[in-house]
Amino acid sequence: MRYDVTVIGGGPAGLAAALAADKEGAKVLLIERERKLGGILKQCIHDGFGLMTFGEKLSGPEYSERFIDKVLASGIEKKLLTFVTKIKKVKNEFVIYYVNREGAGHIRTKALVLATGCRERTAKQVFIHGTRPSGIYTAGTAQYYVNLMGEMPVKRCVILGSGDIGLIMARRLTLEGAEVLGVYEAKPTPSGLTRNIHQCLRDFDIPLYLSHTVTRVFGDDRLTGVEVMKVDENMEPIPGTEERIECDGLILSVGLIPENELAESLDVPIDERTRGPVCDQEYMSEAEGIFCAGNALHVNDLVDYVTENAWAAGKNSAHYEKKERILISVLPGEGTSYVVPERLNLSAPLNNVTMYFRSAREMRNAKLKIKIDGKTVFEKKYQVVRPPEMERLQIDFSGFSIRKNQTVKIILEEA
Amino acid sequence: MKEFVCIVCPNGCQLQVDDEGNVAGAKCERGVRFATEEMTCPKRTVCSTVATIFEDFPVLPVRTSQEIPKEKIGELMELLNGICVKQRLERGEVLVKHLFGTEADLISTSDMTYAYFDGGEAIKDDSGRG
Amino acid sequence: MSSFKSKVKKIKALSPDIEVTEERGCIVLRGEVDNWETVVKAGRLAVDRKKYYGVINDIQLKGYQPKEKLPSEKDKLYDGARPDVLIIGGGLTGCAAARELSRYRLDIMLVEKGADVAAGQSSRNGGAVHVGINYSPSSQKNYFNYRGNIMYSRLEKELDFPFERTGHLMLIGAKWEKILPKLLVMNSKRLHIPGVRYLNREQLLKIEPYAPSWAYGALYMPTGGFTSPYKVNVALAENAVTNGAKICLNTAVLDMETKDGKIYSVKTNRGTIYPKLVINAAGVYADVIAEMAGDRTFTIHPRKGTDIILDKKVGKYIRTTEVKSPITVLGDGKKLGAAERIKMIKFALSHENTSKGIAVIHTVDKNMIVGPDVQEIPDREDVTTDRETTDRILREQMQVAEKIKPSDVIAYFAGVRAPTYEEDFQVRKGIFCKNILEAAGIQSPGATAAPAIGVKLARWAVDYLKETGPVERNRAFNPRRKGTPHLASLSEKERDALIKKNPDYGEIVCRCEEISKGEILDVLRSPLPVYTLDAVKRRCRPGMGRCQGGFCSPLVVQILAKEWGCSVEDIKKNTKESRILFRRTKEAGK
Repeated sequence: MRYDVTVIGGGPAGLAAALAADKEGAKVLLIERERKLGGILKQCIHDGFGLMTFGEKLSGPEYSERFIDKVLASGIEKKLLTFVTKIKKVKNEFVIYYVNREGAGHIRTKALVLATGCRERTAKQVFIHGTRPSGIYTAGTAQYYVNLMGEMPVKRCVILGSGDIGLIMARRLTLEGAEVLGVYEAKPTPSGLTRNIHQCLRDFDIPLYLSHTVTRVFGDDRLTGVEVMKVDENMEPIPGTEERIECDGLILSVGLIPENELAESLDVPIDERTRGPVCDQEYMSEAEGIFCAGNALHVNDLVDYVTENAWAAGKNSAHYEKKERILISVLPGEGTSYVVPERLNLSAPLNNVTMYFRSAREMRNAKLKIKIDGKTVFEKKYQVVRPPEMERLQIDFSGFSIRKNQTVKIILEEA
Repeated sequence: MKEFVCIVCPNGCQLQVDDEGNVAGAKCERGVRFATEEMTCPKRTVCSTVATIFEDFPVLPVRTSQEIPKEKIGELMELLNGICVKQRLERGEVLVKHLFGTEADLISTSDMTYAYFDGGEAIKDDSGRG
Repeated sequence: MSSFKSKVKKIKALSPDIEVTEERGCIVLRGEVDNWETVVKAGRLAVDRKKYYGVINDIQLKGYQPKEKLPSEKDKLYDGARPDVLIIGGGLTGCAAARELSRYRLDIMLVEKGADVAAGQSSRNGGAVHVGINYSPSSQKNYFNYRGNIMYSRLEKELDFPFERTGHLMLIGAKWEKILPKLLVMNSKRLHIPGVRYLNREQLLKIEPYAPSWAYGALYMPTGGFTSPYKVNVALAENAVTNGAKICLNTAVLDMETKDGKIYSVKTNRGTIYPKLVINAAGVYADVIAEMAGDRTFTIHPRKGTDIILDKKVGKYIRTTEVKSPITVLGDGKKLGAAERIKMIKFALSHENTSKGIAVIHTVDKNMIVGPDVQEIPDREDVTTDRETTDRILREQMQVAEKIKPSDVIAYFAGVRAPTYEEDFQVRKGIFCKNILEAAGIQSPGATAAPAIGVKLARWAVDYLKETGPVERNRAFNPRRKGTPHLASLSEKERDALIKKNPDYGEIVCRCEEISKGEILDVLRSPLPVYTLDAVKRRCRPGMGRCQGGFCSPLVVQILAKEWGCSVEDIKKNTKESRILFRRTKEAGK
C-alpha cells in the first residue's frame, strides 16, 4: 500500500495533521499505537483547552473528540493499536514497518509526519536515590490511574516539580480525597502556567516550596517517606538542609522529553534545546519528506498551538515534492532559550511564519528584537514574559530581502 | 489592596484590586469581571469523573458547564461520588441540571457511545442506550 | 609465638574489646566495637585456611540492630511438608540445584523469602560470565567458575536464555604494564583456560573500536561473555518446576530444630517443614542458616555494590566486558615516580579500593552497565542507592567508556554480595550436621559458577539420600525450557507468522522495549506463575526502557488483574505490602 502522507501518532497533533493533509487531497494514513485516538488528551479531563481554536474552555477529551469526529467522518484511513517498529528510507519514499493484531507489515509513503508526542522524565533522571518502593509515579501515570481507571494511587503525597502536570494533579488528587502535602520545585521560579499556580495550589492551600528538591525515598515495600533538601543556584542540594517528610506517594512532574526515537533512527538532526527535529517554517525537518508536529517538535503549553502547527505540517506534507531548499538558521539569542522553527526555507513562502519561542528568564517590560546578521528588522514589546509561558508570534519575513548565508536571531531584553 | 493573577485566559494579567473595588492591570473586560468576582463571590469550573457500570469505560469525565461558587466545590464532589452512569452518554449530555440552583449543569465531556473491536476500529455503537 | 597468639595480638591491636578463641576447628571473634571497618579488618586478620574451617566473626557493632526483611504472609500453607530435599534460597545457586535434582524422582522443595526468584544478588549483578583468570588453582572459585563457564554454551540452548561469548578485556595503559598480561597468560595456561593472549592497540581496536584513547593494549580472554542473570535464574527455576520441583515464594526460614547432629524440622512463616536433607543457598543469610543447623564455620560480611545502567544509544560503544587493569594509573598519575606508583598499585589491589574490579559491560539488552563498586556494610539487605556513589562510579568510568555522558544514565541499582572472610566459596557437605549441604559465600563469579555448583550439590544430595533408600532417575526429565519469544528481534516474516497464530503478539504494551501483550501473557502463564509488576518486568522487560514504566505499568497492572481474576488493587509491585493502588475514586463504582 502506498500513501502520500503517513501521520504517526493520533493525538491532537496527528489528528490535525491528518485532517489538513486529507483536505488538500492527499492519500493519508493515520497510525496510532493505542486502542483509541486522542493521545494524552484522553486523560486530561481538566478544562482550559481550546480557547484559541474554539473560543471555549474545553476539557481534553472534548477538544480531541471534536477532531476525532472529523477524522471518522472524513474516511481517512487509520490503523489503531498499531505500533511502528522501524522506518527505512528507500530512494524517494519511506517504508514504514508496523505490527498490530493482524500481523507484521509495512506500507510505503511519500511524506511522513511525526506526531509522536513526548514522555515524562523519570525519578532516576533527577537523581532520586534510596529504596525501590511502590508509590512513586510520574504525574502522567498517576493521571492515567485516576482519570482513566478511576483508581487512587496515593493517600498522602508530595509532588516534585511545579510543571503544569504536577499542578493539575495536585488539584485533581485533592479533589479525590488525597492529602497533597506540598509541591517542591528545584528552580527558584515555578515551571507551570501562572494561572495553574492559582487554580491548583492557592485555591486548595497547597504550599509551594521553590528551590527545593527530593533527594531520597524510604520504604521497603510501599513508600513511607521522602527526603527533601534545599538547592543552590545550580540546583545542587545544599548539605545540612535535609528534611524528612512522611508520605505514601511521590508524584514526579519533572519535565517532558519529546519522543524522537524514530526520527533519530533516520538520522534526522535534532535540536538539542528543544529535543525535537530541527525544522523549517513548513515544519519539515532537515531530512527530506519528514515533517514534525506537536510535542514531538517541542513541548507545548497550549494544545491550540499544537493544532495550529500540526495543521500547517499536515497541509505542507500533502504538497511535498522533493525540491531544493535554501535554508538559513534562526537562532535563539540573548534572553531566549529556544525558537521554533530553527530554519527558514527561502524557497518557500515567508510571508506568514509562525514563531514559537520561550524567554530564558522572567522579564517585565521586555522587548523582542528580530535581527538579521545583526541588524534589527522587527521589534515588539511584552508586558511580561516567563519561561513556562511559550510565546507565539506571526512574522512576515518576505519583506526583509533575506539572502542565503544570513542568520536570523531572536533576542529578548528587559527594557 | 489585593493582588492576584487573572485565570480567565493564558495572558495571566496581574490584577490589583483596591479597597473600593477598582480593578487595575486587566487587558480586557473579562479580567475586570473576574477580579470583582474573586473579591465578592469567587467562582470556578470543576472537572472530575463519575463512576459508570461499563468495564471498558470505568469513569466518565464530567465538568460544570459554567462556573459555580468556589465554596460549593466540596458539596459538588460529594454529589459526584454518588453518581453511577448506567447508559452510554454522548459528549455534552447533561447529567444534573442547575447545580445548587445555579445556571451551571453537570455535563459529560467524553463520548461513551463508541465501541471498539479487538482490532481497534472505532465505530459508533448506540446499543448501550436504554 | 604460635600463629594463634600472633593473630590474637594483631586483632587486639585493632581493638582491645575483641576476644579471640579457637572452637570446633574455627577461629571465633566476639566483642563489641564502634565501627564496622574494625569488624571487617578483624575478620580478615583471623583467616587461616590451612588451620581453620573458617572465621566465626560475631563482633557486634555498637548501636546497630540488624533487621531482616521478612514476608508478611503468615499461614500454615506448607505445614507438615516432608520433602526429600529442602533448598533454602531461590537465587541462581538454589535454582541450579533444584534443576539438577529434578533429574531424579525426588520431592524437591525450594523456599525463597522474596516475592520472586532472583530476589537478591542474582538480579543485582551486571551479568558478566567470568573467565577466572586470576583465581588460585586450588580455590573453589576456580573449580566452579571453570566448569560453569563451559556449561553456559549448552545451557543457553537448553534453557533458552540470552548469552554471548564475546570475550573479556583487561586494558593496560603503558608498555611496562605488559607484565601483568604476561603473568595472567601464564596463569591461564596453569588453569587450562584457552585462548588468552595479549593484544596490541591495533588488534584491540578490531574487537573494541571504541576502546579508550589511553589503552596501550589489552589482555584478551575469549571465553568470557555476558548474560542476563535473572533470566538465567528464571529459566532454571521454570525448568525445575516443569520437571517436578516445587518453588515456594514468600517463604522464609525462621528457625530449625536439630536432633543428634541432624536437622529435624525447619520452621517457616508458612508452617514447619520436615526435610530429609537441606541445601543452604541462602546468600547473605547463609551463615545465619548454617548457625540454625549447628553447622556454621564461616561468616558472611556483606559487601555492597552499585551499578549504573546507560541508554541503549551508548550500548554500541562497548561490545565485550572491559576492565581497566588494577596497575594502570590514569590522568595525572602517569607522572608519578616509582615509589608513589607502587603505593598506588598496592592501594588498587587492596581491600580499601572501592573501585576494584569495576567494569564496563555490554548487556544482552544492548545497554551499557558500569560498575559495581565495593563497600563493606553491616546491613545484609541495604540495596539503597545514593548520589555520592553513582556520581563517583560514573566519574571514574567515564575514563574507560569515554563516550558516555551523565545524561545517558537511565537507571541505577545496588546489590549486596555475600562473601566469607576467606573470600572463596564454601561449597561443602555438613561438618557438624549430617543432613545439610552448604553453598555459601557465593560472590563473584557466582552467576558463572552457579550451574556447576548446582551439579555438585545434586550429586552430593543423591549420594546422601541413597544411603537410606533407592533414588530413581526422573525418566520424564526434560532439559529443554522454552523462553518467551522476543518478537522485536524477529524478522517481519517470522513475527507476522507468530502474530497470525496469536494476535496478542501484535499488540504492543511496552513501547520503549517493544514488548507485546502476548509475551507478557506467556510470562504470566509460565511454569512458575507470576503475579507482580516487578516479576513481569524482570522476565520480559516492560518498565526497563526509557520511560521506566511510565506508559506501560497501568497496562501491565490491568493485564495482571484480568489474568488472575482479581481487582487492580490486589496487584503489587513485588511484596504483599507494596500496594500500587488503594481504592476506587468513586464509591458508586463499587
